[in-house]
Formats: sequence, C-alpha cells, structure tokens
Amino acid sequence: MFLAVASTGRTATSYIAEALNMVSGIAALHEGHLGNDAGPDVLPLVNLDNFQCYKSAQRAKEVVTTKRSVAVLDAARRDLGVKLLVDVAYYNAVLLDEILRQVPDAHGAIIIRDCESFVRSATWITGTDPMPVGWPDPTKALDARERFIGMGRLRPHVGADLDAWSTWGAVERNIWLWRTTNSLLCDAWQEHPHRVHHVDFEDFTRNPTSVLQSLLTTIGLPLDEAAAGELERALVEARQRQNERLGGYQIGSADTWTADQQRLLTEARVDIESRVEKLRGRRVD
Amino acid sequence: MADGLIDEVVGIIGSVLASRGAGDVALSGESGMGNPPAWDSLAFVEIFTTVSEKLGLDVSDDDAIHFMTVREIVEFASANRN
Repeated sequence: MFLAVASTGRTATSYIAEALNMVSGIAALHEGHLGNDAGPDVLPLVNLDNFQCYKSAQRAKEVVTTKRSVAVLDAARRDLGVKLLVDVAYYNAVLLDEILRQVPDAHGAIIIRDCESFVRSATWITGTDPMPVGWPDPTKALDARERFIGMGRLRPHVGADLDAWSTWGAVERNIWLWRTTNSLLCDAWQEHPHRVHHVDFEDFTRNPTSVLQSLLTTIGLPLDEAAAGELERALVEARQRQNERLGGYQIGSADTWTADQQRLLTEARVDIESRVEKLRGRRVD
Repeated sequence: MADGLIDEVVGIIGSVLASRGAGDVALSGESGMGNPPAWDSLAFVEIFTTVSEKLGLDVSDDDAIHFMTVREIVEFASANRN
C-alpha cells in the first residue's frame, strides 16, 4: 500500500516521515528520500516537476505514469520489505489526484495548517532558510538549495494573480501559495472522499501519536500494541532531531500586516476553511 | 542527437562537477541528476546557470525542468540555441 502525505510544507512533514520510518512494516520517505533528506533516494525526484504539473494536468498524468506508477511504488515497497510505503512531500499536492487515479490501493493524507501561522513560518526575509518551503522576500539573495527548491515552487501562470505577482512581497506570495496548495488538496479530497484523509495540523501538534494511529487505522493498517509503542518512541526521538526554528518568526502576526495583506489572508482563509468545513460534512447546504 | 553538442555539454558539466570537488567524473548522454551522485540539487543550479551561459541560452527558472539529464539539455539546447 502507498500513502501520499501532502501539504503546503511547514506542517511537521520531516518529523512525520522520520517517525513513521522507525515503525516496523513502514518505510516513510521525505520528498523521496528514506527517513529524512539525508537518506537515500527511493523514489524518482519530482521536485522540478511540481510547477509543471500544476500548470498541466497532462504533465501530472505523465509524471505519475513514469515516476509514481504501481510498478515504481511496488518495486520500492518490495525492495524495502514493508507493507506500507509513505512519501511525505509538498509536491504530492499536485500529484495526489492522479496518484489516486492510477494506483488503486493508494491513499492520501492532507495536512492543513492555519494560514497565518504558515505564512509567518514560511516567510524568510533575511539569512539562509534551512527549509525553504515558502517564497522568500523578492530582494533576498538565495543560496543554491533555496534557488533549486524555488524553481519547482508553485506560482501563478495565468490571470490576475500572475499580473499581481511582480508587485507582491513574500507575505502576499505565501498567502497565495497556502490558498493554492490547499485548494488542490481540497480538490483531491472532493474527488476521492473515501481515500483522502484530512489531518488538522493543530490537532496533530497536540497529539501526534493519536492522529497518526487514527490515520493508519483509517487506511486499513492499524498498529498492533508493539508497533504503537514503536510509534510513540519514534515520535519522541524524531522530535529531538527535527529542525526547530529557534530564532522564531521573521515577520509579525497578521495584525501588523498591511490592509491588503490582511484582505488577502481573510479571502484565503474563508475560501479554504469553508471548503474544509463542507468536505468534513459539518455544513448542511 | 548531435554528438558534438553532447560532448560540449558533458565537458561543461564535468568542469562544474570538478570545480565542486567531485574530481574526474565519468559522464555520458545518459547521465543526469543523481547519476553521478555529485550531480545533486546544489550542483544542479550551477550546471543550469553555467551550461546556459556557455551555450548562449536565454533561460528562466521555468526551463530548469529541461536540465535534469544530459540528453534533455542537449535536446533543449538544440531547439533553443541562437
């Protein structure tokens, strides 16, 4: 079985991959690398395909056919000798729908974080961003890693947002990134309601063990007592190794943002939160 | 595919990798990111920039997808070289 975990990034993705990879019967990748970014490549890299797949559904279909097919995923799972292969990656947002179409036993988990905290976490004004998920300030000099990841990052390719892009700073761009990525996740959820599982990031941070156990049960691979213990210990160990942002955020809370930034934030929140609410079945239309 | 252009691209990439401390790396038309291992994501950006400059290609970051393998670079350069 294959589980594609998708999000904007800045949602504890490397933590989740590292912890799940320590559980018997599971091999978890972070963006194709076993366990963490220093691990060996298990699945073909698709980082640069990310933006191309956002622009073209046909391209997404081709990428899944060549790089995330049943044959590719089964071979990786067999080589690793596990029942469940997990890939936790931002690029799954553009691939999830197609993966679920082409891989019958695949599931998706979508992690959605609050917009304001994502933007504050992802917006890097100065210095080298150790985990460059979001758009940097347009005037910031980038190192090679930041530039490489930026090459595949989602950005507008048509319409009014493309026109506005050159006038936007990092905050506006990261609000756009949050809204667009989560909109793609909601699209996949809407299309595959029984195979896409929503994880609320705040729930996860409060109780990671319970949330991951529940996710694995939902996809039909409940952990036995021993494996549950492994997960609990793995989460503690992975927590100690994860990249904490010791310096804190580089931008202030939304009440310090410009009126335009606050308007974009509100529009994005209303759009995504209403979709999530509807998809969770909380709203009766 | 033009053998001369393959040799030229292989030569440029070999120089980039050597300048990054990889030594004398064996490259062919089938080489690409991750094979050899020295062609990693950090080397990728330098290869993208240097090959574009040396071949006189006018590129944007959108074109980076065509720089994953020697073969793809040669195909892209053949179609876009001035």
